[in-house]
Amino acid sequence: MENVRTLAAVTAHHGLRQGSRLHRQAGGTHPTGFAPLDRALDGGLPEAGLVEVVAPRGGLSSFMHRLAATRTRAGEDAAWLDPGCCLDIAGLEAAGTDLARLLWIPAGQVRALPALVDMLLGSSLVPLILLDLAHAPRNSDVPQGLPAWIRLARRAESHRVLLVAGTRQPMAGAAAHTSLLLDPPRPCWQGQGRTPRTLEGADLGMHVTRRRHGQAPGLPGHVHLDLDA
Amino acid sequence: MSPPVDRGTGRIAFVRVTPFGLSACRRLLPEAGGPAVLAAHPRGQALVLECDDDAHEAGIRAGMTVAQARQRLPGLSMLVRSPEAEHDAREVLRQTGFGFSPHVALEIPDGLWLSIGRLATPFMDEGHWATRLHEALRVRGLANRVGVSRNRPMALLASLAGPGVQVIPPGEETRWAMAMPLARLPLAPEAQARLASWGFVTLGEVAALPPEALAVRLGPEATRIASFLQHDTPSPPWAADPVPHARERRFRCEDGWVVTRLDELQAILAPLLTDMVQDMTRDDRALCGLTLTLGLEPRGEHLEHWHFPEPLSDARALLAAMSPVLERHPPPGGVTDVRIVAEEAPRPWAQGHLFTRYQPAPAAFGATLARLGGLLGTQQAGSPRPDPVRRPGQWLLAPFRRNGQPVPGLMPTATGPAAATATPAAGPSAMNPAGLPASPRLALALWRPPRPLEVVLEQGRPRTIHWRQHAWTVRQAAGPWPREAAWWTPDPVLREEWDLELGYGGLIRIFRERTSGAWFWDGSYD
Repeated sequence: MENVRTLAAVTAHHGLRQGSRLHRQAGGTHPTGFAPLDRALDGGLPEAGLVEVVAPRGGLSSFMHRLAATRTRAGEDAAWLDPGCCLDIAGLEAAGTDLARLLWIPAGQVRALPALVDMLLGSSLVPLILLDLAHAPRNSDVPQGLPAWIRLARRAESHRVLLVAGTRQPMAGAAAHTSLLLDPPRPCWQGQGRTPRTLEGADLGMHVTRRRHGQAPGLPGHVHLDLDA
Repeated sequence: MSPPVDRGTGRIAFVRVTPFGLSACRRLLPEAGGPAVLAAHPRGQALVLECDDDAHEAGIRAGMTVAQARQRLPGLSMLVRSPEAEHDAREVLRQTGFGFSPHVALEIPDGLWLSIGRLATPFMDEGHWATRLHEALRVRGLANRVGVSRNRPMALLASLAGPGVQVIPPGEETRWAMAMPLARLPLAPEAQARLASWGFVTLGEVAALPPEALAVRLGPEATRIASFLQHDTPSPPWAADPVPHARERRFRCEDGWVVTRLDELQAILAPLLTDMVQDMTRDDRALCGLTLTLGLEPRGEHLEHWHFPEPLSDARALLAAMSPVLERHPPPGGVTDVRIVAEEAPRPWAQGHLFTRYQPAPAAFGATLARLGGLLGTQQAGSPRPDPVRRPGQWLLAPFRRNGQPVPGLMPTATGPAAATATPAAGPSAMNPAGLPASPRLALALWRPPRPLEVVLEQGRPRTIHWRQHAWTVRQAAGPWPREAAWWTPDPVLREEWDLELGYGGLIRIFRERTSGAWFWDGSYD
């Protein structure tokens, strides 16, 4: 018993960690960069698995820009699958993204988008994959049906990759580790009467609609999005 | 004649490919097994030029006719001398040499000098180094002997001493040279016979004779014997290491056979690529570029080139990257000849860490990017950079490297406007210490290209917009915000932008081109 106490004291003093705790630490969270959401999610998104972000009427690009900026600035590589080829590179850089850590795949003409996602997941090329299906062309070959999403989610978990899929309507359902719902951005205008009006930014509401572990779904709150002139 | 004195300082190796012409032909015809001779037809009669050890044991010698040789050994294979094959063999010899030493020099017709210098380490002595060289050439189909010593004549002697590898340790040169049997020296048969008739067996015995007397009796061969005992010899003319290396594989269809289908071409390419990659892996090299030249029926060539941002050593990934391009740009005719030339680079490596996230090995990283390129086809993937002149919606693509490493010596690929060098991503001005803006930004999802619109104005401000069959009233409008970019170019961007909140709640950005007056939907705030 004395030896155990001594060992604990020594490890605590030198900042050492037990190997058995490494696994638990490895299963940590990814901060999203949105403070209310991170609080509601106990730190952020899971390290690996499928996260679905449903944005029926906008807000997805702002969410993913911030997430990409947060993770690349934290020293991680990320891939952005962009079937709609609608990524605003200058805006992404202004959002703080380290573009050198981003692999952008404007896969507008790709016939087999699911195969592309599958290959990226299987290779563990990057720890974060952002899949923008909300702006995909209508004829895009997007993953269809719950089994396809379950397969992607399992592949993401087994290869320790976080797959964030942004959609217009719920698609992944129970396959997702976490599901978020974004309200339409509410514009904030400045200037009244004869003063020229300017768009100052927008408010974005976020809801956690599904979570495999942790506290019950709810409304973390609103965040304000700035628009630089 | 005085015995050699050890005054040299460097170490040098000599590789002799023997029999050279026969090895050069055999490496292109591996199915020609068993005893073989190399023959030529100088005067309409096939004469033996070289023979392998089995044929030599059967009593076959250079100068015999092939008919005589076949009488002695009925199962004998005959290969015809090919200058092209010998040229290729010398190139293989040289390239392999560069894998072992930065300084090599060809010794025509059949040898290669290699400077050892400080290559030998406590972890790999000269013997091990020379054995690896011997094996590397042997697996490439070149039977060889390697000699290592302090100077050129002694290395040459060592290579003549016997099969395999002979290393003369420092300080042992004199004793070793004196004991060298005369029968192994490449002397004229008459000189060999005369020395044997005098009863001389070793080089040491001849070295003790007065040089003048030997010259009178043996003529030029005496000078040749003396050359084996020189100890101050100039360095060979070292060749520069070509950067990058280039390896080549070829396949020529047999008479009348023409490849017309992609799967047939893939079946030809797969073993060529596998062989090439294995060859490079043995030398700790990887493939950073590839040129495919297809000879067409009846004439003409079809050329394709691939460049890989991360050096590759995976033949399947190479084929996966090549196939989609060949599908999209098939050769315009039947293929009769396939030639692939590789650009080489050092094999990438990376040190993983126990407590950090798993990352694929560099080779797997490169293979994934190559497969990605194959899947994407005409689309490209990479690390995006804003257009240097800030044209809205335009971008540059730089090769994606793990952990945001810079790309040494590689120009980015431009897919937006004219090509330009990508600059490192610069962070925004108002950042917190982590490099992030304090609050999130409202992002824009761009339409590429911008969508043409019809806009109804009221007092100079947008009132209603029409896009296809849709018509939306404008609830709020902010603008016009003039934007100018690349105004010094023939294709400047001169526009007036408006931020609009539409009746249904959508938030969009539109612009009017100043030159044409046309309206466009640039994107949606999203």
